Amino acid sequence: MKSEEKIPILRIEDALLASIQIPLHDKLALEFQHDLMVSIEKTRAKGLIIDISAIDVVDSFITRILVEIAGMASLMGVKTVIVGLRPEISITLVEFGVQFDGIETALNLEKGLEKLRVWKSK
Amino acid sequence: MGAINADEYLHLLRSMRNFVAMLDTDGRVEFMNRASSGYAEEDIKGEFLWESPWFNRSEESKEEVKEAIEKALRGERTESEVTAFKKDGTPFPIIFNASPLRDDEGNIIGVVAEGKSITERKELEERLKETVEKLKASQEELSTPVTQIWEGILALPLIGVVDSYRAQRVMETLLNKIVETQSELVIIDVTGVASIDTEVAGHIMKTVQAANLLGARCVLTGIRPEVAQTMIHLGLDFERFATKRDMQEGLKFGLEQMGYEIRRKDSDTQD
Repeated sequence: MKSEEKIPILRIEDALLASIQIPLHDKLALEFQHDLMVSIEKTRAKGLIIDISAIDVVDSFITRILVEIAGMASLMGVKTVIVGLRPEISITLVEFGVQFDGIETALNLEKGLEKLRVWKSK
Repeated sequence: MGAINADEYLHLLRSMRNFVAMLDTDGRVEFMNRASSGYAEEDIKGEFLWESPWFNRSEESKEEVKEAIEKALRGERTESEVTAFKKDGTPFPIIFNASPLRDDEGNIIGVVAEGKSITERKELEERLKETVEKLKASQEELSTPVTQIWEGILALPLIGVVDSYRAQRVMETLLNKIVETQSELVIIDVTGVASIDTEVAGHIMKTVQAANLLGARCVLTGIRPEVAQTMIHLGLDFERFATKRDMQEGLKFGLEQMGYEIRRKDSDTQD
């Protein structure tokens, strides 16, 4: 049975946009990953943008989920860009030596889309 | 060298820069090498030292001197900072020492009191304090100079010593400014940084990584020859970001990244 919480996935240009605004937990995270991959296949999207500006605490769990998503998307030929990281969060991540391996970051949605465009044209 | 006679002892004592007095077991002044600060020997001789005009103008000084002498009479040596007064009433700080005076058998037969004016030292201390305060204030102002020099480009000229505290401040200010101005490129200029050790390099690396996470790139400019040498010898990994010769090259690089082209207005006619 699926939980009632859901992270909406929107289409923007030829990319997908998901804004995480509720706290992730194990089950929700798995469903989110599943939903994203299905959407990628269905919409033939070329890029994926995940907005985390609403997240106050980025812990190792969320980091792992994000890194996993980027990995999965990359297997399907899709580039992932994380947008909306807050300064204090980025400091914490660096202090604790957390690595966002293989993930692009951008300041905002617009710049994220631009990064995807640059990547596509390569 | 043979034994010196009593006269020579007296000369020796008289020529000393510091004040030395011999007190009896009650604390009265029996002998002193010389009077100073405007007093005549008669003003002081025979007085209890703490009741002498040097100290009798302040209860606190009297108390401290009396206590020191009592301690000396019990066999203790003391050293303290006491305020003395000149004849015209001007206070001046001295270091006051009191030690027991013993005979050949080791019996305490009096007290040796010494005084050394530390007016200059005090003044120096004050001046030093003021200077340090001033420096601190100006360093605060200088510590985090993040400016936007172009739309989307920030400049961070680092000057002077970068310690952990300052590095932290710089990092916070820079990251907030990146988000506030939505800037994609940061030029970190280290021309003014005298030396880069592992610690400083670590701070710079962290700042760069954090900026990267936000989605901004960093260019390091103005690395001095000696700094370049240290960095390579320390085996620091500075490959994560671009380095350019100076601020100008950094800005040019940034503008090119953003799709601008820099050339003279008349350059097409000349070629």
